[in-house]
Amino acid sequence: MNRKLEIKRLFIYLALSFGLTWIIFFVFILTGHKWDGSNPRLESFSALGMLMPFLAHVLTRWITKEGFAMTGKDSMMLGISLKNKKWVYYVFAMLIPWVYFEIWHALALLVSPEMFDPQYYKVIGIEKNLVWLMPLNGIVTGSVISFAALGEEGGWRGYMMPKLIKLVGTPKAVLIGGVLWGLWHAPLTCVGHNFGTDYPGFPYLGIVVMCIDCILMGIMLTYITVKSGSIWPAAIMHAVNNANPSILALFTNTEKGTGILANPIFGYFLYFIPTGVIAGICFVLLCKERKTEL
Amino acid sequence: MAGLLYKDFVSVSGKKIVTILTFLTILFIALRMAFPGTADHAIFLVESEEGEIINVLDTFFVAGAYLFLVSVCLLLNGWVGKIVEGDDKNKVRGYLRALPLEKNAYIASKYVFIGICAYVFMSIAFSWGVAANALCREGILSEVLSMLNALVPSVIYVVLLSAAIELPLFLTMGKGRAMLIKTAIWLVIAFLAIGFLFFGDLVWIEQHLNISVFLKWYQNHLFAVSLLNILFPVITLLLYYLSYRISCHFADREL
Repeated sequence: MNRKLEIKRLFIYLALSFGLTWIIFFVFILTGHKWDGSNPRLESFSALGMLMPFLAHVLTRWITKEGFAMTGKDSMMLGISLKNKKWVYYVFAMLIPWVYFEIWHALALLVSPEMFDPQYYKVIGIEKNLVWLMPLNGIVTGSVISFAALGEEGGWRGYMMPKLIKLVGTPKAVLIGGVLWGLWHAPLTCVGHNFGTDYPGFPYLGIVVMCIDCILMGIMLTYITVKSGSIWPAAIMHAVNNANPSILALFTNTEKGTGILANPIFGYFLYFIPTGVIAGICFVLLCKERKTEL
Repeated sequence: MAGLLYKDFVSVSGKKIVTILTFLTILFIALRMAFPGTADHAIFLVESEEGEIINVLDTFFVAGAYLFLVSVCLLLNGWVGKIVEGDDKNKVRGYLRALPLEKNAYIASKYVFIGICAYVFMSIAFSWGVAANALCREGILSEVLSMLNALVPSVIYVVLLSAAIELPLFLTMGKGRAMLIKTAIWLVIAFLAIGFLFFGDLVWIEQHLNISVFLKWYQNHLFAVSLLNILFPVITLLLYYLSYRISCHFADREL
């Protein structure tokens, strides 16, 4: 491995990925916008930014003449193989976000039962008949319409993580990769994305929480990418995660939270319990993998 | 399988199409960023009949995104015949069956190729919708674009279902006879449409088939649209797989 060249490639990728995305995010901020709740326009905006890491990946390969191999070593990992039980990782990608979202909301309701609101699904505009179909909706929609998540995963898992693992080894790579990925979200966190603007330590606490989230998610996503040899399971999992596939979420009114959950950002610390456990298992398994497998 | 897919990619002039689509997509996103509807340039602002302020720039991008979706659907539909036509002309099918490939690899490759193209086209159509909507002025045009993003998967599934019907026909009958049947079906539909134009109630069309009525219908039937969005991909994939099995069955009988 030519270490110097790999570092150069990684820095070009990071510069392009951050640069291209932040241009879009800063257009949003400088035109006076705030992340005031989720609506199709704002979601479109973040989706547009999510495409940039993959674009940065392609541009980096083009600039550094790395080639555009779809499968195999040092490839873009776009191939799909279900042989040798690799289909398991696709099922994992589809179902695991549902599991940790339900556990998170169950924990939140245990800590603060006041948040249970049997009519909350109406507030967020979900039909009663559709409530039980929402996890399936998240899984199907996430699996089929995974292009925005593919935009991110094509860059982070498809390019940055293999390079980082090669350069610094798996344990450090997942930590550095997670922090970089979390910082990439920073401009949107500063205008209220995910956590709003009304919390102590705004926006620094939000950026830290986002970095922790990205480290934990990053471990799970890197694990399934390494094991399946493809970025598709990671893209599916990321998309299903973003679709928030949970039934309990439709009965959990975070505005009614008391104690530590009075501010929704602290609810994320409960989210880190199930994701932390799953990420921990993935981390142990990942460290056993030889780094050359990417 | 990869070789068979590449053959189909070449037969539809894949490289040229990829270049054109990439160029158009980058151009569209760049133009959208250069001319955002969210920027309130007074010369582009007009008032609609309903009294809503609309940015004229947005209308071009909305039309562009819809036009793109229609174009890729037509392109994908055309490719079903094209990937079979090349094999018919060059007598490739008989040759491939003599090769040590898995029994149904040839038929599977056609289905996988159309499936991959459908996913890629859907993703690109989404990125157009997303780019247009992200920088759109809030109001009716933003809603029309949100509707586009909700409809893209459904429209692509319809094209996939159409491919599920056409592929067994093309693979078992060859392009000539399959096209004859396809043309006959479309002619019947066209004659029915012309018949309606001559003898039907055109005022009804004017009242019931315009964008605002469609938008109202979409808002009033959100439950049905949501249910369709959830179940449609599952049903489509099942039917697509069933079509593949039917094609394999006919191919077995041919041998």
